[in-house]
Amino acid sequence: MDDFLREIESRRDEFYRYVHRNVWDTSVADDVFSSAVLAAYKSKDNFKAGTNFRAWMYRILTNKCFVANREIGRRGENLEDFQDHMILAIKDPQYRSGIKDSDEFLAMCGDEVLMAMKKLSTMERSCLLLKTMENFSYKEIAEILEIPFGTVMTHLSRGRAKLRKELTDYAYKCGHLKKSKNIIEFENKERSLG
Amino acid sequence: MKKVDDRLLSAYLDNELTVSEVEELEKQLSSDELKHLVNEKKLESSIGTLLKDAPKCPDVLWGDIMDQVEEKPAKEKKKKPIMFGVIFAAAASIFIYVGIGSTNYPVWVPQSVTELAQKSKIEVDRSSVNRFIAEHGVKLKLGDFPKTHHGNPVNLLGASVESMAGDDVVTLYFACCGEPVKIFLIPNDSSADKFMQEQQASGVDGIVENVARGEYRVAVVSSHNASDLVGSILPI
Repeated sequence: MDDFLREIESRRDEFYRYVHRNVWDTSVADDVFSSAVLAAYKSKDNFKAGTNFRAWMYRILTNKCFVANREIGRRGENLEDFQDHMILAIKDPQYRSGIKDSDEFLAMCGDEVLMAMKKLSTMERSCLLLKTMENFSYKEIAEILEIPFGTVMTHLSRGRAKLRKELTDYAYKCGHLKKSKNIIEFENKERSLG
Repeated sequence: MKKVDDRLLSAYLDNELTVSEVEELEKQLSSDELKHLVNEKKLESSIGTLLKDAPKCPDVLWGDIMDQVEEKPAKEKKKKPIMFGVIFAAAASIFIYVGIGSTNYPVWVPQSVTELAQKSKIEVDRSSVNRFIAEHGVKLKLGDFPKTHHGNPVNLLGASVESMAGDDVVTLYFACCGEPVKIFLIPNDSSADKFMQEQQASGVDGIVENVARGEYRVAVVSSHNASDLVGSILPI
């Protein structure tokens, strides 16, 4: 085994985890991971020594995830068509008291967190995974995904807001959170706008 | 003053704001709301921990990848026989196409797993595939994958409806040992059923299994010996 493969092997669990959390189906994750490692090996001469190997590898992994999730036209999303759910939520005292203990809140949500992640677009999910799970900076995420810095911010905030919305909707359904007047008014307004 | 929105809030949670942006944000939020951001940061960190608790790369998978890496130079040396095989396969598919005339089914299985996966019309998970089968009125379902004799992983790639001898046939797509595999769910006594049996009787390569399952025949077609996969198709 050469140094290149040894480098991948030393991070194989981390890379596999990222793929698994991005495509969800184990059999697809196996395929995506294999094909990404083989593609990386095939183009190892394109990797410039001294640059960020981890980020280079994540770019290949992410591209393979996009193909597997069939979202090749990923740059055509309308980033403007989006409401500020998160800011609205934190201005709601009911929401604030419900999330006081994050561990208790997540324990109540159970598998809903993973289900909610699954509902995000591949771009939003990739941004969230790279930030929350792998701790990359916004600049590094922009390089990995080959998108502008500001777009990373948008995808991250939108992904987070969708995630919060799914989890709070679940918490409302379970009775863990109570809807405030503001939230009900906001939802009615959204509904009337279609 | 810049209005606080979700983008700023999200960047604040990630410590990606400049000092002046933090000041702007803090000016626009009440003390309760600011205190709450600590909880949001904790929530983010807990979600990160939860997501990290994902399956590790299986040793078998890593072993398979390493085998493929090592096999590559050996395969390259065998270029001539592969070219001959491709020419032979092309000739065979033209023969099939000419032979069946009215059907639009000239090629059995694409040469690569990626190509086969792209033909799928639905999401790649078992419940979507089973829903797709049921929506097309087929009384069969996809169950657990049997343990194949070679012990290698089987991957579900999706499903679609293919035209065979004038019939629409629900077709499932798989990869076994990295090779593309199609499974046709063919209604008994249909034109497609007759067509498939004729092809099998005339010794056409690639039909590795064609067995009865209730009101259907399940045909596994691949250049790879994936006959065990037939065990995953169950009657309802």
